Amino acid sequence: MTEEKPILDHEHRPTKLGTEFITKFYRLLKGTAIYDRKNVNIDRLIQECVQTINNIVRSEGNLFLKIVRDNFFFNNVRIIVSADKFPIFKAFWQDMRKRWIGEVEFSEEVSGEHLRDFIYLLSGLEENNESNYLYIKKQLEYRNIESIDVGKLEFYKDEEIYVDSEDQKRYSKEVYFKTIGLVKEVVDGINQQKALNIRKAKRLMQNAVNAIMQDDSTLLGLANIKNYDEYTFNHSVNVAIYAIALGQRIGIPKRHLSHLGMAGLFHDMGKTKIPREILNKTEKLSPGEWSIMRSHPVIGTELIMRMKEWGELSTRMIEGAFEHHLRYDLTGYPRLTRKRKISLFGRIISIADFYDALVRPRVYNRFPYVSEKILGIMLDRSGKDFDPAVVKVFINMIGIFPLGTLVLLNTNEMGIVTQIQEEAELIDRPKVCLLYYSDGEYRKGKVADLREMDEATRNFKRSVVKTLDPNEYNINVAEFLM
Amino acid sequence: MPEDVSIDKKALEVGSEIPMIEGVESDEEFILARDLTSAFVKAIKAFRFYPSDNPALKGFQDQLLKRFHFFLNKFQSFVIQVGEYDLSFKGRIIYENKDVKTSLAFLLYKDGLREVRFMKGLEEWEVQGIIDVIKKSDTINQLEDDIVTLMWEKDFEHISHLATDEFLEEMPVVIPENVDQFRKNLVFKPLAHQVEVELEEENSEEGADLDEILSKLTEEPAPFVSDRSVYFLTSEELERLKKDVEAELDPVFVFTVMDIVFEILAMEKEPDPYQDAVNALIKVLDAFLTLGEFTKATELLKRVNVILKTYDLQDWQIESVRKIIVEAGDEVRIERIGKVLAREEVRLEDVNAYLLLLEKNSVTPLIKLLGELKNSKTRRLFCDAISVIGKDAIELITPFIDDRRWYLVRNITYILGRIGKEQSFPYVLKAFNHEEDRVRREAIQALGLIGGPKAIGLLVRALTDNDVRIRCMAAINLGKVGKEMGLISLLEVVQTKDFYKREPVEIKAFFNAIGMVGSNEAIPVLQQLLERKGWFVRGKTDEIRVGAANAMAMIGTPEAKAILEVGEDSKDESIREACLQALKSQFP
Repeated sequence: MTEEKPILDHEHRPTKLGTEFITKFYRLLKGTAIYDRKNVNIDRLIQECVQTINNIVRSEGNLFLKIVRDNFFFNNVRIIVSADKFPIFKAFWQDMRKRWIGEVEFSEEVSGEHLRDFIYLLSGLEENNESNYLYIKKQLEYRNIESIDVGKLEFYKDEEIYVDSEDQKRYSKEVYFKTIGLVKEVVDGINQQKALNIRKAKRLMQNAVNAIMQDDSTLLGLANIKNYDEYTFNHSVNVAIYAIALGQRIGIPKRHLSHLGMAGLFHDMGKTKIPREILNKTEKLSPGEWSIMRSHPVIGTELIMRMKEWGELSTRMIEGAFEHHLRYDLTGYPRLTRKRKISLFGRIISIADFYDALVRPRVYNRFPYVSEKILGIMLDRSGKDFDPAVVKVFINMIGIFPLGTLVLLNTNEMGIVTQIQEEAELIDRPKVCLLYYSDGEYRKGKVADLREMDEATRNFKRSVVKTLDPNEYNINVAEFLM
Repeated sequence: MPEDVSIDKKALEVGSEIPMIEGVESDEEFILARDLTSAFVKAIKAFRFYPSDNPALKGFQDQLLKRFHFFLNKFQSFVIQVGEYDLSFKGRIIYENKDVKTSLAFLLYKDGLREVRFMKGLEEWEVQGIIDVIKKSDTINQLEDDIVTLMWEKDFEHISHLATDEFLEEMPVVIPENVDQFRKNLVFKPLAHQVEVELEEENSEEGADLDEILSKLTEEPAPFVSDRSVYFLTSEELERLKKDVEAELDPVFVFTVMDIVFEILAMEKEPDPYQDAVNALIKVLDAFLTLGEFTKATELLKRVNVILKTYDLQDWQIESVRKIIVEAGDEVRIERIGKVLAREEVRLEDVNAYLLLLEKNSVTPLIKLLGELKNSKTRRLFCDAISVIGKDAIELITPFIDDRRWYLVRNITYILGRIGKEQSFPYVLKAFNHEEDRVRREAIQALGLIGGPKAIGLLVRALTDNDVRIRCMAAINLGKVGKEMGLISLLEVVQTKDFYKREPVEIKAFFNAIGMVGSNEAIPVLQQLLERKGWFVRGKTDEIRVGAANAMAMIGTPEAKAILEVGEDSKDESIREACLQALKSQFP
């Protein structure tokens, strides 16, 4: 006799149903950006969404989704977002927020046509118009669609409002470059034995958290700019950004994300005390030199202990500095006298550090931009060097083809990845800015969404074949990300 | 409109700070905004002026919340712009104060705050929170925090703010608008060229060459690109991540730094950073003690002892590390322990484990605390611990024998007894002569533990004390340590004419004492007392016979046993009974 699937208890049910609805609804919403009303792909997406909505309405009586700040409520119960669903929720939240829509309700079962009308109304709304909800209400009334209703987004924090996405980009850039300036200040300060300006770092990291919680693509994009001519202090900033973005996905609350950012920012502080001739050496290091280099986690920890009173923040920073080379299985360095579990923050920073260090090109020996190979290495070494679960979250965040990757498509077109898809199933189907060659250089073309399918064949229109080295084509990736 | 809380402190007055502006009486919103600001300022002042446990503060806060709710229910939001010395509402000044020491506006402005917005739905914790933030700004370390960072960390739901960071910049930071500017502004020197790649399992000293590794990879897309299941999170992984986040957010995570600091101590060879690590451990220890986490504090000290015993340390390192143990028992820490014991239930075994790791510098503070402890079990624990810690430092203990508190003197006497050294004798003598009987009784016990001719001499003296309990205790202790000298005195007493008149407990005590000495020399006297026909009250005769018989049984020698066996056949019933019982008890 087969066992029946256990009934979920009341607590988890809203999360399950809410997640199911948002996933389907968001897919449908994104589909409207690619396909027109009559496209068969839209038919399929509508059908899936209608089925979900009507199942819920039949079992629960209605479906009421509400957004309050960055939380979702399904029939007045908060949805608990898991790490794997985080990207979709985040993206959906951003889309609804831009439209000033904070509530969606299905009071009865809905037909495919009504849903189609509704979704295209939603999709076509003007960004940042507070009256959007009134417009939709009116349109629904006009079309006699009584089973669907919307409401205005209730609360909006001023410091996070950007008039448009350009505003958001400008803010993110500001945060990024100010943080680089801070790192330089810190390094100079350490060498001159000045007090560490924690306050300024905190402000910047809090701003970084704000920016990332809004939309992490700009900061992640900046983190992906790899300058081929010279090294910068970007690394510490990049690690902080990757760490915050990763921590957000894992479910670390806002306040602690700023601490994670601080820990990332100062994880390599110990290198300020490594002799320049070792730091700058281009040839392989000797065993003695490696030994000195490997002392930087301990030095960094000691610097933090000296500069900062012991407390919650300094403990985080110490964890970041001390643990980032330990490896998940503790076979890294420094060698411990006693086994201990690496903190979650340490595991996050370890991954961020490794990735950013490896995807950084070197002046004297360029190699193809092989981020998916780096991610492959990380997956391969998860359980040994890295926490397996955190690696997965990282890959889902970065995408197999991260922002700024130059890719060759099966249509023989070239493009730069400008947006990663939120759904794990579509992680290899980013949006790319196609390039065309004219007057001796590559120029920006249109943006292609690799999720787009051919109506007739139901195959994807474009797929990535391989990644390319932008240097070989004299392409400035930074132009697409700045 | 909510009524005002009466204020009788001039310092809380805000009259001059809230400007009177003509012609606005008809603007209800502005009037309410002004009144709300006034209430806000008053509340802030009250919280900064009164101690935090003052009950009046609740009134200010409630008042403020009521006003907020009234305003926000009517107008949805309350937005104030922050000027250098003023606060404005919709372009009109509603608060002004140019005194930088007292101006609320200046306090907010200097940290970069430019606008504060309160929204409908404002909750009590948020009102309390913002008051706390502003209050805290008086004392925060400006290198670490300011009002903006504190407000951000509160993560208010119905309060938002706009702030500028420009004032933090010593020099303006160029934000590149395009790639050329980005490249042009790359003025920073390299932080590190070396890509640390330890991807080879067999790598011990050298880093692997990245190019070499990557060149071995094929041009094919990595396998996981097609097999997506490898980067889908399983439900177990999701659950584990959730638990890891919870563990990370638990406030006690700060103690994980202890493990890292111990690792530093194992590796570091330079004095300054070594000392920093030691200081860090001391802070962790302080935290443990403050929280009453004695088990963790003990573990820390044990690990310190392991370092001292097993690591190959230089002298300066030993001195540095020992500082932890010394400080663990200093006055400040012991006082801290006292506070914890006073406020909460703790497992005494845990406290004991900690105390036993302390060094003799802790003796004096421990005794000082001992004088304040109320609970008898705790006092006993401290006494036992002090007797262990101070066993080679009685000079630290003995000064307290003159304390005016008799109970402390008793404890000191107890401690000296437990230590059991003869050089304590002069001090135990003081206790022996104390006016408080309870101290004197403790002195008797201590003398019994110390032993030696002088102690025995005093115990002999105590056999004729006025206090029956002292006499009993003296007898018993003489029995333990007295040997022949004590025996003679004991035998003398039991042979006195009116010994029989004494209370049964005393009679028993003396005979037991004689038995404890265990010498055949007592047998003749005991036999005599056993067989003597009583010319006193029968009951008393029985008591004497029982005592004598038991004493002989305790002596246990063949000679003593023989007498008892003879007595078993005595015609006198009470002798028979006494001998029988004695033999049964000692020779079952």
